[in-house]
Amino acid sequence: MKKSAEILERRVKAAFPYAPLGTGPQGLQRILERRERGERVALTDRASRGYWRYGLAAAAAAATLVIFGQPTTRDRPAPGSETAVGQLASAALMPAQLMAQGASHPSYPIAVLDGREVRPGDWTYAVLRGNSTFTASAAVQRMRVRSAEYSGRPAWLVLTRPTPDSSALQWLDSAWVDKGNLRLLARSVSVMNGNGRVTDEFREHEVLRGFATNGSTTWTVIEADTTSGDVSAGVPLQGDVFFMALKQAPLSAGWRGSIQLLATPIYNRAAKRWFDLAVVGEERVVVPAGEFECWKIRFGPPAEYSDLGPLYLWVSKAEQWIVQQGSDGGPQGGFRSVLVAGEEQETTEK
Amino acid sequence: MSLPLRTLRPPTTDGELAARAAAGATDALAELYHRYAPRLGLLAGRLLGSSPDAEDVVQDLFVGLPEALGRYRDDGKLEAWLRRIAVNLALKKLRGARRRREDPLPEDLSTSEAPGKVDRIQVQRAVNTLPDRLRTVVILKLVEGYSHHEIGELLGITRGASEVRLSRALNRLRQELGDEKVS
Repeated sequence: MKKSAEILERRVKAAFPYAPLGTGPQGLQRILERRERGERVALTDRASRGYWRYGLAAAAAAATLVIFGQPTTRDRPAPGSETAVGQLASAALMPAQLMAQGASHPSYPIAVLDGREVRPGDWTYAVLRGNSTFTASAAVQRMRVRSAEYSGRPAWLVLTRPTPDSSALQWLDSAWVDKGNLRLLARSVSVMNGNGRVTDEFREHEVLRGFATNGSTTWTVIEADTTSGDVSAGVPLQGDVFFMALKQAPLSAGWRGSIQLLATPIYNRAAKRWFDLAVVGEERVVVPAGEFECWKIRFGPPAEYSDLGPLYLWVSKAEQWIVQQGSDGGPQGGFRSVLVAGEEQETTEK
Repeated sequence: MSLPLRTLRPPTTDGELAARAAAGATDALAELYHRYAPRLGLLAGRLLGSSPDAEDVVQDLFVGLPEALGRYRDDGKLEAWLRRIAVNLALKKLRGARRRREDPLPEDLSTSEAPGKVDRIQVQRAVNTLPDRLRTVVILKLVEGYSHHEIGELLGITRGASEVRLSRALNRLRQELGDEKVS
């Protein structure tokens, strides 16, 4: 019997003879063309670890949420503070329509960003103008950055969307960002009027998503589609983290750089898009938080915009904070937000 | 009369090519492609049962290679490292929805074909009808020569699970090919 097994094994081996795949110059040419267009593919040389480990890491994230006073599925936030599931990838600080206008390829040299200049802090912005669903839905935007860990890795915890109830501050949106390169590690967002929570762990080739509601959590794996640039752990930055990325940008007169952001909020899919930054001037800006000498930066591709018009950022020269944002208008009206208060720690470790 | 000095340049090592490709040298990437793409494509094709899918794997691998090489530690085993990446890409594709699988049995295959060729095609077809989780182990173990320990690491399963999958696969192949049950 054993002998017949060996015979079968030999038959199988013989059925797949050595016949290398033909790889002509066209194949190499296509590879070089794809790279020339800026396309990249995240590769892993590590063995699969099994999804149960991912679940443990995400469970640890959920535990962290409790420590930081995140609402549970039974804590219903005040009316009006809900975020639809479809807005999971939207950014609290950046208008979603503008985020959706990123390009598939960078126009400027790719800016190399890391997290060395990021500090813990709190920032509050007021949206002064904006009549679209996205920009007018939150009149006050707050962001808190704290030192944390995610699955044993040093991380920045980025908290946004506090509940309007000032007596018990709770953050509805949490993101863990790698301290070394600002890549998004995980995100947990309150959904369904606070009756659910979606926790995403971004891995190299997939996203582990936990959807918690009615006391139980369903885990699913969303595989990255590298051909369309869908979300994966390779996603460098998410909208809120753009604020942190600006801390490292080597801003100067005439500087231009492209960065990749997670944009286009679509349920289960979130595209990686390129955003081009160009320093177009220097201005002194007065906002509620004070008076700042700023770099004026054009955000987005240099081509014509379809909705809100070109967005400009005024970034303070000293702190490299976003002090003011504004767009010129367009069919959906303009947009303007200003810094109301900003506080940053001296140390990186608080 | 002195002879002109001739410097014989040794073939560029994998490590040198990897370092240069990681730094963005296109010629180094091209050389790596010529050295390894055919064999990596064969490996992917065996796992996926589809030449177009295998070509996709090779394409993706080399598009992402310069960045990935930043993690490569030159230990003289570049091909083994590349094969691991290729297997991971192929497994990812296997899990994906859009797959193409070729039936190796041509419609006009007649009995006049050489018996050995007929047997190869029948065995190929039987292997290709196995569920992916069994088929992958068959290819990695019997065709590619990986150990059960290595397969376990690649697939995220235990060594024992790999052995069980192979046993089940062989039993199915036996049934499919009309042979007796393997103990």
